[in-house]
Amino acid sequence: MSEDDIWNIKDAYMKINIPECLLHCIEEAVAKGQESYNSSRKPQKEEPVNINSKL
Amino acid sequence: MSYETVHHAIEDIILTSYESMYRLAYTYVKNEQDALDIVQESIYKAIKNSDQIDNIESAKSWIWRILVNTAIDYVRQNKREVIISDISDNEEIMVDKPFIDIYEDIDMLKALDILSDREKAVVILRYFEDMKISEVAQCLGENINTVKSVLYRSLKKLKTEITGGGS
Repeated sequence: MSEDDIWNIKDAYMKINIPECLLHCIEEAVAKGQESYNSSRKPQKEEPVNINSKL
Repeated sequence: MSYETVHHAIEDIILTSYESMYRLAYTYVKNEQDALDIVQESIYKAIKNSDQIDNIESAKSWIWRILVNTAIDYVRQNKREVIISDISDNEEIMVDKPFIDIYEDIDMLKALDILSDREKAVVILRYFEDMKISEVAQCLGENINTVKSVLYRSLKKLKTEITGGGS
């Protein structure tokens, strides 16, 4: 395979149209990801430890 | 390392490479909507699981790895749906097959379909995204020698595809 062939495929790859909504979609995904991250790290209410039961 | 630091690093990487991320996804699915879904899902996963990143230097390859794995999973899932519908009802094939966008260079891009999903990722990252072999290896969680041999095998396959088996 010549360098021209791989260049032609790369050329086609670089010509893939980027949709206008892409940036908006990314902003949405970032916001959702952050929301999900924050909710998974909410401090859990700790159960009181009954020391007597361990004795 | 604080969450804010990691989060900003991830955002910076995404903002500088989101078009490349979309192109890679598009190469796997050949249509806009599916490619957008893959990029969105990958970014969502990256942000959600950002506490898994040990150091910022590895964040870029970590995000690319999520993207490649998400794209491959998406394609496999889609293929399975087509096969299932093929068995049950021929009419469903038309419904479930992904539609192909009108894109004039699709034939040249289709040459990549001769490659396995993994081989495709190696060629794209190395030749189209201009990553070093060591970076490709890091992105895909492979060792450098494996990436080199995958590259060699992939170029050979592409040569056969493009030249029709000739030299």
